[in-house]
Amino acid sequence: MVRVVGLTKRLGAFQLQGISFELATGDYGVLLGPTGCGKTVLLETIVGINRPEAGEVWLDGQNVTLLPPERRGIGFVYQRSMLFPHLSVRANIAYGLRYHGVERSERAKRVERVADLLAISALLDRDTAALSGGEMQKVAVARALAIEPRVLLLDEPLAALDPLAKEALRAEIAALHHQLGTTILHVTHDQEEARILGHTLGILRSGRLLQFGPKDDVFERPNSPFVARFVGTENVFEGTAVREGSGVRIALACGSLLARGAVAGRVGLCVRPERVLIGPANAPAALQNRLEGTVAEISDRGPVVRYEVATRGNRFVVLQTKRDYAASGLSIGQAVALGFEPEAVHVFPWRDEER
Amino acid sequence: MAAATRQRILGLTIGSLAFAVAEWVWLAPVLKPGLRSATVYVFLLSANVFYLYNLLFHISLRSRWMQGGYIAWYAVLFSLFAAVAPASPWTFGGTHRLLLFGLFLMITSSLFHMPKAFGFMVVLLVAYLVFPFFAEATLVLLTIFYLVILAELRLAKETHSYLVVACFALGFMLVLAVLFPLVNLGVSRSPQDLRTALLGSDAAAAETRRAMWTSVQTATITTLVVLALGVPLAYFLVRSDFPGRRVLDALVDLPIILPPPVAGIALIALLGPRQPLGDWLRSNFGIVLANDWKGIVAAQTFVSSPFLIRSAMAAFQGVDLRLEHVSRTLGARPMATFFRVTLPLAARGIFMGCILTWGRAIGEFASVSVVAEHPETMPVRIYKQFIEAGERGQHASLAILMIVLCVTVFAGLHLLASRTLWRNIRTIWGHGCGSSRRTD
Repeated sequence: MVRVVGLTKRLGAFQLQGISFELATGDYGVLLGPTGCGKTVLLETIVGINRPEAGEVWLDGQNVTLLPPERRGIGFVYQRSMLFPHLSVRANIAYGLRYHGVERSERAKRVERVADLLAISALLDRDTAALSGGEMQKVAVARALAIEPRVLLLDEPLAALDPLAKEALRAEIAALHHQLGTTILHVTHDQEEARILGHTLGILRSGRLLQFGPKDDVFERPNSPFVARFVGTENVFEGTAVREGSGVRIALACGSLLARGAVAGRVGLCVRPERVLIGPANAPAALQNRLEGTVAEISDRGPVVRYEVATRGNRFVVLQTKRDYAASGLSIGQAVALGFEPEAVHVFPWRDEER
Repeated sequence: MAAATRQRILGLTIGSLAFAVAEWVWLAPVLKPGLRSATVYVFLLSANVFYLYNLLFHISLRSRWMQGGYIAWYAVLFSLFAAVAPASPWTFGGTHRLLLFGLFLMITSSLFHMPKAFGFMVVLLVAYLVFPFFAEATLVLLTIFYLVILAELRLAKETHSYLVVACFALGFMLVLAVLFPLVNLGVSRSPQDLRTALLGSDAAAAETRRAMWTSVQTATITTLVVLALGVPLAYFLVRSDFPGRRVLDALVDLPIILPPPVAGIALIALLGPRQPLGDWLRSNFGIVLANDWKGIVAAQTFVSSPFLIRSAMAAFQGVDLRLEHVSRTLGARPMATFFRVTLPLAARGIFMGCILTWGRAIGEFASVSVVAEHPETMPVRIYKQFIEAGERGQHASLAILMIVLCVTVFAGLHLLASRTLWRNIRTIWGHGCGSSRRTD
């Protein structure tokens, strides 16, 4: 278990401001944030390379805030593997073993076992300079896992890899976590990576942890406009909500929407683009929320097609599968109707400073 | 027979006759009666005819530029031998000069379409005719220059940029300023002279051997001292950040800027005889600096430390701080991290610093001579020979010995510093550390 309480650290103009969260044993936590949000500083503070000005770091019920990194037992993998260039792959993986009471006779076996786990046994006697980017990262992960860390910290481990290697290593890390149950804290700026790997998700922005919780919660129920946009909810609007029946009705420039929930007054709302249906304007309105507009832009996003629809005063983004796109035959400039259920609308209190 | 060939044969015949007449007129005053003179005449004539033959039958088939160059080269050779050569001891008499002219005419004629070989002939000519008094030194340096230019030109053709070649041509002036005096000095004494100076059975040779040994010894001790203290200082300067760090950083270079005698005088003023600290050292530890090897080491340390410290700093800067972080997260304490990661990665740079420091130390004269005239180091001995014995002294031989010693050691050390070797050493070091020390 990793528990961070009110962690504050100033580094030049940058500052971590009272970061608190708790990650259960065996959990896979992902901290998601844009470049420069303080992800690396936070990890380095947890691992003990930086000493925080305030706050505490707890590991399995032990306060490790004042311990040097070598006594914390935290595995750490940097974005650029940081393998020891003067050592072979085998020696890199074995590096930390003797500091963790592993008998000499046991060390070789431990190295083999970890290498086996990451399918890098064939690389053991190579020079680190002869490895590809993905292989280097695997060795770095193996080196960190060899000491059987209490928690494994991954600092953008996939960011420097090409797409294929990235996907392969991502799958490998997921499998590894499933198999070993090691507690992992992973930071990234890639929301796709966060979605695939994470069980628990935190959103960081300029040294502040905006939201932390189960992944689905954060993705489906962001607590602020920034979080909503950062996790890929492109339809984020501001409006005034009044109670109506069991939910609320929110007035927007383009019309009014029904939503579930009880937050009234000035609110933010978001609708995930994949939950919006799109069709020709003359199609009957089967859903409770119906808006009309024209298609402003259509772009190919691989398995899906992304529409930008201009409604009166707002712009909606809609995702549709390729198959539905082919069936609908919509084109730019066409008048369309958008429809979604009140359940698809997530409402949260609006706070100006977080725009 | 083709018309062109007929024209060429006609040209050759007329040209040969013209040469025969012109040479007879020109040589008549030079040639003395007798067989030798006739031989010279015939040889020179054949050389000229050969040159003409090559022009008409080979060179004329190539570009106009080449034809122009070929004809111009004749003019160059002729003027070299007519104008410059009489001053050269190589070509004293007229007969010799003419023979050489003929010889060069024939050789360069056949080499003309082989630029590389032709270039070497030009180098030889320039060395022995234009700089006859420094012929050997010029030959060595020009050959180096020529070889590099050839390689560079090939590269320039590939990269379509002649900037590098131009830079080399300019930079070589600087290389010349250093190498020319050295090579010239180097070839000024015979190996026999050097043998006598170093291995002779007289007292002077014994002194020289002792001085050489003293130099090697003190420079090595100095290097070890600077290594033991300078490496920690360098690491401190690279990895720390405190107000005044930049001042300390700048102070490291102070010995390079100060005139070396200042260093010697400062040391003597502090640790010399009849100085409080010097007396204290002598009465309590029996350490005397003046006229002692310890004084020499102190002076050499003073002047040579910046080189190692700077090299080590650059080497430590090259070691990513994150490597040290990773090492620590894996359980290694700061000290273990330093010896297992930082030092092996910086070792090559530090070793290069050692080479520089050793070189600076063994060459140091001024501060050493202030602190210790005895025991003599080589620089001190060379200077004394130069002052006391003048022209008849052995200073030139000693200087050459010094050059040989330093160049040999430098070459050897640089070989040791080759990247491949260090990669292996680093690896062995890393693995050795991994197995030979006890679990923490």
